[in-house]
Amino acid sequence: MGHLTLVAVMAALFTLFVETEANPFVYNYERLRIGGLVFACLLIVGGISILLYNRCSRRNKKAEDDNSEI
Amino acid sequence: MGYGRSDSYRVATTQDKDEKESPKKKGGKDLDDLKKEVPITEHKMSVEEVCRKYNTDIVQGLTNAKAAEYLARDGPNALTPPPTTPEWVKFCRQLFGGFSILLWIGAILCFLAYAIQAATEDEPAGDNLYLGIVLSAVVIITGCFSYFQEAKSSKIMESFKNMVPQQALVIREGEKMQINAEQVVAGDLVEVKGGDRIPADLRIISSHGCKVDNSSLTGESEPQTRSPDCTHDNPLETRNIAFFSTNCVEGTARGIVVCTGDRTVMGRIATLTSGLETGKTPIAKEIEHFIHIITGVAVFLGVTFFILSLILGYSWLEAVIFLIGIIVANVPEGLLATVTVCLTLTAKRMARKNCLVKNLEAVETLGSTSTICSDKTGTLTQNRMTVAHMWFDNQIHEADTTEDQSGSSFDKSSTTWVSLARIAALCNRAVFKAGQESLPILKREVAGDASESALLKCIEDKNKKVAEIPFNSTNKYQSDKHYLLVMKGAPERILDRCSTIMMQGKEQPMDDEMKEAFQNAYLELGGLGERVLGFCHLFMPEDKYPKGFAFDTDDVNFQTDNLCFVGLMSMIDPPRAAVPDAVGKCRSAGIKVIMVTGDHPITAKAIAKGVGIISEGNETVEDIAARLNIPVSQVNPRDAKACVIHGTDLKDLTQEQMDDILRNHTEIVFARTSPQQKLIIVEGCQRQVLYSHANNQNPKLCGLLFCQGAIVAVTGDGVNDSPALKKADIGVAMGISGSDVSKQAADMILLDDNFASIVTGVEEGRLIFDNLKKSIAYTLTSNIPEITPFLFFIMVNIPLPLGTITILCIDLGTDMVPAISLAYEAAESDIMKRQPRNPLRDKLVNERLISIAYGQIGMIQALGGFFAYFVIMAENGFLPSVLVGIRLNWDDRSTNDLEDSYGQQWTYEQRKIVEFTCHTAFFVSIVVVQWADVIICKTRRNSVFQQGMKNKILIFGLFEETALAAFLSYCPGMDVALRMYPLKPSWWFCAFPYSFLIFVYDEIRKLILRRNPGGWVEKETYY
Repeated sequence: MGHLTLVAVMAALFTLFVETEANPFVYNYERLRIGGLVFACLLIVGGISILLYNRCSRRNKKAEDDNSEI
Repeated sequence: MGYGRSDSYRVATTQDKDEKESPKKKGGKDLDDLKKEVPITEHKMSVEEVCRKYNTDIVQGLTNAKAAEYLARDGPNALTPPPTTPEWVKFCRQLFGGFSILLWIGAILCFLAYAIQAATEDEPAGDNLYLGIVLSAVVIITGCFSYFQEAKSSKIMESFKNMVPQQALVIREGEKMQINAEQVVAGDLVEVKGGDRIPADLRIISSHGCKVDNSSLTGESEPQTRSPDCTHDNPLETRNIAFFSTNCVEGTARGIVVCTGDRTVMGRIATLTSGLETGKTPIAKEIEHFIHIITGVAVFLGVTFFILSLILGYSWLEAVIFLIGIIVANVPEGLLATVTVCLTLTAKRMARKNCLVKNLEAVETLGSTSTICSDKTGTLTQNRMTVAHMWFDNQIHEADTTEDQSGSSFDKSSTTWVSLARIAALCNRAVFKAGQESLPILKREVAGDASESALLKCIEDKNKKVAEIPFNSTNKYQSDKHYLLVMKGAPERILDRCSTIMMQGKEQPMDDEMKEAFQNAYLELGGLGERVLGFCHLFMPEDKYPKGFAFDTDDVNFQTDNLCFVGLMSMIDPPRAAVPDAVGKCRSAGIKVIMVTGDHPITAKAIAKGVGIISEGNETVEDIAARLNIPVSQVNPRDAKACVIHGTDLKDLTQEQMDDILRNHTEIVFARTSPQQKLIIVEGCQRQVLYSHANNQNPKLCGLLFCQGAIVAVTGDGVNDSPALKKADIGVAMGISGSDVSKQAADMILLDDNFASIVTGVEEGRLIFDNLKKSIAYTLTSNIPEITPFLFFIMVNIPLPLGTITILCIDLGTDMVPAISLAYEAAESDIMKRQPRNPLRDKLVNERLISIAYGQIGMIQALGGFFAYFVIMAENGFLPSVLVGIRLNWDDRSTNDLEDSYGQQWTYEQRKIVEFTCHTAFFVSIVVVQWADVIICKTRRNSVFQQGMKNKILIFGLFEETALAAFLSYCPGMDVALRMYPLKPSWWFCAFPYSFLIFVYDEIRKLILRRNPGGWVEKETYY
C-alpha cells in the first residue's frame, strides 16, 4: 500500500517536471514552482513522520535509551 | 533575602566561575587568612574568663542596653550575602562573552564596510548593512536564549531556599526571651534544646545530654556530645563549643555567644567560599582557542587577498572592503547558536537524569574531569546510622544496610536475637514520627539520637519502661515491668558488669575463651570503622524486687553487676547502594577518585574500602607495616598504592610533599580535614601533573605524555565542602541533603543525591565534547564554498557566484538543524573506557579539524558549487571563457547589450536574473554537498556503516534542509524578497557527484585511519 502511494506520487511529480521541460523555449515556471513546493511539503511531512514514528514506537516498547530522543 | 536565617545567604548563582569582582578589593591576604584555621580560643578559657571577656553575667546575661550597643557595633547576626551579580550584568555577559565577541567584531566590520561604501559610492550595495544587522540579531537572540536558560536554572536554585526566620532563646537581664536570631550578639546567654538550630557560635557553660549534629561542618555522621569542659585544643574538636547553624539533636544546653554573623566558623567558611576566584570552564577555554584559530585563518585570508587585490590594481578602498568582506565571510554565523543549543540540549538531558547544571558551560566540564574529590558523609554514604553487624551466639551477623532493604538478612530465629532486640528496643528513646505507617521502616523519620534511631529501625518492638537512668554519656540502663534490667553501652564497660553470656538463648558462665571471642569480635567490628555497642540484661529475682518496687535511679538501690551479656551491635553510616559501581566506572574512565572527609580515619578508610575508593588488595603504609610487623617508618611509601592521610598531618605538609602524595598514590583518603584543608587539597589536585595517554584510542601513537593542570571535580553536601566546591573546576552538590551554601557554591546539583549521576555527567560531558567537534567540523566546512565565490569574483572578475543573502540562508537556515542534530549522535566507541581528555593536547578545534573542514571537504564542496554555477551560466549562453573578466561590464547598469558566447544580447536586469539564479543554484549545491558532509561528520573514526543512521533528528535535518532549500527556491515572491529564483530540476543534480565524492573520500580516509593506527593519516587528519 505504502509503495503504491509512493509510486503514484513519484509519477505525478515526474509528469509535472516532464511537462515543464517539454518546450525548450517556453519554460513553464508556474508548474515548476508548484512541483517544487509540493516536493518541499512532502519532505517536511516525511521528516516529521520520521520524528513522530520514533516517538510512537518508543511509547509502545520502552526500548533501549535512544540518544536521538528529543 | 532571608535575613535572620543562618545559611540562606546567596552566592550569585550563575556564571560566577569567571567572576573577578569582590576578592580583589578584599585583597589576597584576607583570603589567605581565612584559609587558616579557626582563631577561637574561648574553649580553653574558664567560664568566668569568657564572661569577663564579653562583659556578661552567667546568670543574668547581658543587659538590654549592652546588647543593643553590641548589636550596633557588630552588626546583625547573619551572614552577609556575597555581592550578587545584577541581572543586567549577567545579560551583558551572555551578550558579549566568548563566542559572541567574534560575531560582534564581524558586525562592526560590516557596518564599517558599509560606511566606506556609502561614503564613496552613489548607490552602495546593501549587503554589508544587512549582514551587519543579521549578525547583531543573531548575537542578541542567542544571548537572550542562553540568558533565559540560565535564569531558569537559577530559579530552581531559588526554590531550594528556606525562608523561615530563625528564633533564638536568650537570657537578658535575667529574663528568658524569644528573639530573632539576627538580634543575637556576642556575650548573649543562649539556651538551645533538641531540634533547635544553634543561633551563633556558643561556648557551652552547662548542658544536659546535649548532642549536636555537626555533619555539615565536620562530616561526622554521629551526633556529638556537648559539655562545658574543654576536651581538645582544636576548637573544632572540643566539646564545649557549639557552632552556628548546626543542629542540636537532643538535650538542652546553655552557652555564651562568642562569635556572631560572619565571624562564626560557618561565616568564615561562607566568606571564604564567596571570595574564591575560579578560572574559566574548560569549554570556555576551548572556545577561546577556537576563536583564535578562526580569527587567524580569517585574518590570513583577508590580508593575503588584500595584497593580491592591490597587486591586481584595485583601489585602496575597494581592497579594504574586500578585506573586510573576506574576514566577515569567515565568521561562522550559525555556530554560536549551534553550540548554545547543543549545550542546552545536553543540559536538559542531564536534568532529566537528575543532574541540574547551573551554568551551561559546566555541562562539558565533568567530561574532562581527571580527578574527583568526594566528600564522604551524605555523598558516598547515606548520612544515616544503620546497624551493620551484630555479634551474638559467638558469631558475627551481617544486617541489611541497603537503602531499599533489598539485601539479604541474617537468621533471626535464635532466641539470643530476641533478647538482643528487646534490649535494643528498651534502651531506646528514639520514636518514629507519627503518620508514616505506609512508608517502609527505613524511610520513616525518627525523632531522636542517630544511633538509637538505627537500633529502632533494626528491631521493631515495644515494651513499657519503668525507670530510665542516664548512667553517663555512653552507658545507661532501663528496666521494664517484668523487672528485666537491660543495659547498653560501650562494650568493654558492659562486659565488666557481666558474669554470664547468652548462647543460643541459654545463660553460660563467662570464661576466658568467651572473653577473647568477645575481644576479637569487638576489634573486628571496630576495625570496620563501626560504632560498637554492647548489650546485656538481667532478670531481676522476683523475691528481691517485688511488683511495685521503688527503683531509685539517683541512689542506685538495685543490682547492676553480674549481668548476662547478650551481644554486640555495630553501626555505621553505610555507603549508598549505587556508589561502588559508580566509583568503578569512574576508575575505568581513567578518573581518580579521592575521598576527602572530616570524619575519622578508621571510618573513612572502612567506607573507602566499601565503595572501592581503596580497592581490594591495595594496602596503605600502615597496612604493610602491620602485615610485615615492622615500624611504619621502614616501609617504602612507594610500595603502598593507597594512603590515608590525617588532617593534622596534612597541616605540616609542604606543597612538594603534598604533590608527591597526590602523584604517587592512586587511592587516597583524606580524613579529619577542615574546610580550609579541603580547599588546599583541591588546589593540590588542580596542580597535578597528569600523566595520560594523549590519544587513548590509539595507544601506539601517543606513549606517555603529561600536562599540568588536572581538571578536578568536587562532590559534597556540607557547608564544609563549599570552599572546595567553589574552587573546583566543577563543584557537584547534593540536591536533597545538601546545605544551601554548598548548593550555591556548586556548578551542578544532583537532584536525587545519587553519586552515580556523576557517571552520567561524565558520560554526557564526554559525548557532548565529541559531538561539538562534529558540529563545528560540519558548520565550518561550508565556509569554504561560501568564501571562494567572493575570492574568484575579486581575482578573475567573474559575476558573483554566491551572494550574502544566500550565505546567510545556509549558515542560519539550512545548516542549523543538521548541525544541532549532531549533538544527538551516539558515541562511537565506549567513551567510559577511555582516559579523560588531556586539556593541553585534545582540543575542541585543532589544525587537523580545520584542515579537514577547510582544506579537504570544503574544497570539494566549492568545486560542486562552481560546477553548478558554470552549468547554469553555460545553459544560458555564457561559457566559462567569456565569464572570466566580464565582471565590470556585467555589473554596469548602463550596459544593456552585453553579448554572451552565442552573440545573444542581455540587458542588465536579465543578466541579474541569471546571476541570482546562479546564486540559488550555488546555494542548492551547497545543501546537496552538506548532505554528504553531515553524514561523514557523524563519525570521526568509524565508518557510517558501523555507526548506522539511528539518529532520527539527523535524518529529519536532512529532509528539513532540503525542504527549506526547495521552499526558498520555489516559493512565489522569493525573487523579490531574497532574490532567489526557481531552479530547473536538473540543476539540483549538478552537485550530486561531488556529494558522492565527499562521502567516498572520507570513508576511504577513515578506512585508512582505522587500518593504520598511528599512521600519517591519523596524525594529520584525525580531529
